[in-house]
Amino acid sequence: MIELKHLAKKYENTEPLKDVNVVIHDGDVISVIGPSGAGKSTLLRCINMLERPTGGQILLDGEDITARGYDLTQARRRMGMVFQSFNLFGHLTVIENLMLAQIDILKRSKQEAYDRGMEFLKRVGLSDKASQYPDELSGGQKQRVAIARTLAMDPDVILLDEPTSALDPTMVGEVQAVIRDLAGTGKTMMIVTHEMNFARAICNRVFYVDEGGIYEDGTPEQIFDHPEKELTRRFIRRQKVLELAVEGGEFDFPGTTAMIDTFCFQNDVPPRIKRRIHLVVEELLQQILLPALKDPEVLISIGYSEVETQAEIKVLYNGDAFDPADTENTLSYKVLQGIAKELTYSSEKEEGFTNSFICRIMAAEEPPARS
Amino acid sequence: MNDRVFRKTKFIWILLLMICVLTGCGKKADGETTSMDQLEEKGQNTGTMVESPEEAEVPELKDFSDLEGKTVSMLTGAPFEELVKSKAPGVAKFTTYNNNPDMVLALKSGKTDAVLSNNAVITLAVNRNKGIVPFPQHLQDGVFGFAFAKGSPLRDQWQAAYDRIPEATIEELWKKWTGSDESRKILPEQDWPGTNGTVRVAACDTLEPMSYAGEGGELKGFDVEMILLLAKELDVHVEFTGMEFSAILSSVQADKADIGIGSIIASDERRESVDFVDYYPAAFTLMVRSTDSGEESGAGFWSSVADSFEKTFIREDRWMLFLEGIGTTLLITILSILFGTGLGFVVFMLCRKGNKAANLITRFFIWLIQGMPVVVLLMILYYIIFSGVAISGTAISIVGFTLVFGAGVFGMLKVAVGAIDKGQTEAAYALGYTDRRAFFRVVFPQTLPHFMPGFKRSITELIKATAIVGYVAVQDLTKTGDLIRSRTYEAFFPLIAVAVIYFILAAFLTWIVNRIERCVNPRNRKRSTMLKGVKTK
Repeated sequence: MIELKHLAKKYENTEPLKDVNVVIHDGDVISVIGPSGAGKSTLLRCINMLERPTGGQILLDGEDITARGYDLTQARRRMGMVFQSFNLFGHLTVIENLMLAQIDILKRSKQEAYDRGMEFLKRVGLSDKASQYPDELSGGQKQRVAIARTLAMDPDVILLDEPTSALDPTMVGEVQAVIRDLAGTGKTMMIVTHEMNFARAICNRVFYVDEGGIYEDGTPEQIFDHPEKELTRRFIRRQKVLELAVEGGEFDFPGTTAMIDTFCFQNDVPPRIKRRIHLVVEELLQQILLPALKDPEVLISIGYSEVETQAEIKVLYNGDAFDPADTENTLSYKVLQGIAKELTYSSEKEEGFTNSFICRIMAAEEPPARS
Repeated sequence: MNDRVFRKTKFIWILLLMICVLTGCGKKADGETTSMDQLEEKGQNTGTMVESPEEAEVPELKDFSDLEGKTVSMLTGAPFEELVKSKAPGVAKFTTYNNNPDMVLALKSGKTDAVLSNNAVITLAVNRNKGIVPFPQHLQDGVFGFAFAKGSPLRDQWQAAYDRIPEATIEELWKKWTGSDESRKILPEQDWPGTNGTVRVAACDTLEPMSYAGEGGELKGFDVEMILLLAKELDVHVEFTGMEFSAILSSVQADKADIGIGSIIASDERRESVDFVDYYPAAFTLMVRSTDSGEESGAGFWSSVADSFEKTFIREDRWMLFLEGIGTTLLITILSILFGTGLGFVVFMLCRKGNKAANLITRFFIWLIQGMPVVVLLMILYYIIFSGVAISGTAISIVGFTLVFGAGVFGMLKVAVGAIDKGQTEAAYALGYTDRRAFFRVVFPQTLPHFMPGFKRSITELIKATAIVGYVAVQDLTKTGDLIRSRTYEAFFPLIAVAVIYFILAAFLTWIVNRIERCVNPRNRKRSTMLKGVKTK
């Protein structure tokens, strides 16, 4: 059992982990997901103290391994680690990579180390590569050897830090197969990954890491199908959001257009949806809202979900209740109606604004083929 | 610029240069053989002052006005420019050399027009070399002295001993050593009991005939025999140390030696820093070329090459000197490599974990050691840091080069270890290794390919760099070449031989290191031996 209490890690410029509190039970297979730079790897590396936490405690079966003077080698012996970049020892052959620590650390005899090593090489399907050097192997083979090396030490916990990120797409499968096999053995595992489907297939628990900690923790069904929190939802739907604030009468239309263009380009928004986003912003904001509002204070958030290929434009604004449907500019509203799948107005208070208007855009069906 | 063209032209230049050297040597050797043969017939013509040989050769330059626009050479550290200018204000240029044989060579080859020296050197040079004659006029008369540290009580004892020696005995010695009969130039054994202890004498080893190294490297000459004569009188034994002329007075001042000898003329300026026992009249004068430049010999090119080869290597077993020089050079180089590698490694291990104090101190020392010429470092060690300690120049050279090599090894280790991916250490940590074991079992074995090329390069650089140890009284390979050059008055064979030997030594050391590298590089293990003792089914 691993218990993290108020774990924090601070670098000079950033603070990826602010306050992490979680209990990892024996037998848990945990997928750690989250946007890049959120601190997933930092969390994993803190657990076996490759990164020294700047605050909090890590209790391994009740022992505080962050305590001053604690013999870290003892803790690390019980926690195997698989790295993104394999980190096989370049001066040793494959089998020697597996034997070295068994002999040096576990004090096994050479013969025993060899036998155990070969056993795990067989398990990852590489017993025929035993006498080759790591640089003679493909990336996928290297990672399988690295997993075998970790297993040969009989760890209680296995930490995998993006094990397939550095691999050619064609090699991801073989490594995933090995990890899937491992997940079935009942060993405690924690895997940082970007492969959602794979994560979902092997784990019984998911950590969504964001905003300096474990933002949401739940079963795969909870996290992947019914995420409760906003950021998780956006991440799962691979939803990207652009927020624009308009204050005062001056509206920088060309500047806004450029920002939307950049956003669409960065997130691979299809041109058809991009055109429609532009249109909505122009009609709704410039034609309807800005002329109607006395002292305009508007927040536009444009969300795009890669999974559903749909965009949602949410406009929040202040002032008296005003439904754009009541506008005098009926032509503009008709345009909106024409391109939106759904238009929703609400005068309930949200994030300090009195009005909200949501416009949902789908990629339109292909125009009928000319015959 | 096209690199290949540049390399080609460079090669041609080197070829041309070598041809020039070869032909030049041939000519010089021709002249040499004849003059050496004739020396025997010239007889003894050695008064207290320099006299012309019997068959009077006519000097090219006859009086001081002839020096107008000419070059005058003298020993490094000899402060006589003003003196020459006072007599011959028209002298165009002064050049300095480290020893007399080089100056004689320069005079014969026309690199200089007149050589300023003392009566002893000039008498000997004139007796030996056809084509060189004394300048008819003296610049100044003075006296030779043995140098003692200022206020040394030894001086008065030795002065008293000197006063008891009859003048005729001294005159006989003078004739013996300035003459051209080499067979007479043998020193007496120190066969007296030596009940009054031992004195250390610093002697120049290139100033023939006063104080120079003989065939076996032993010191001899007029000054040396004079010292032995006085030592016998005082019943003390003498321990000679050979060194450059410019090092003698500093040795005496630094208490490296009790007495300094080697044709030291007791000038007023020198009397300010040391005390002297005056023992023989000296005169500053010049030697110049005679109008008769010596007839060409009919001997062929190859026979002259063979002759000069014989002179450089065979005669008087001079190859033994080369062997000794090689031994010294190898000793200094190999010990410096071993100690330096050890030192660099130990310091690297101390600094590895980023200890701020250790790093600061190391950076400072490396900056200090690498910031100055090695020769200056050696001299600082010899004359300042170890000045009061009885420690040989060879040991000091080893200390100096150990520091220099250690600094290099430290830097190379830092680069080599830095080149190993941090992931290797992390993987070892994650497997349960301690920091130290992770370094030795995982990181260090992988640094070799990054470390060895630089290491081999520095070994070659080191062996070449040791050529400067002559400055601290060590007779290494380069110094041996100098000595032999000073005996044969020829530059070609000693220099080329020294160069070739350096090439061979460097190749030899590189070969050894290559062998070691092959043994220790884990990637060179035979696959069959890796799993020794393991049943692989």
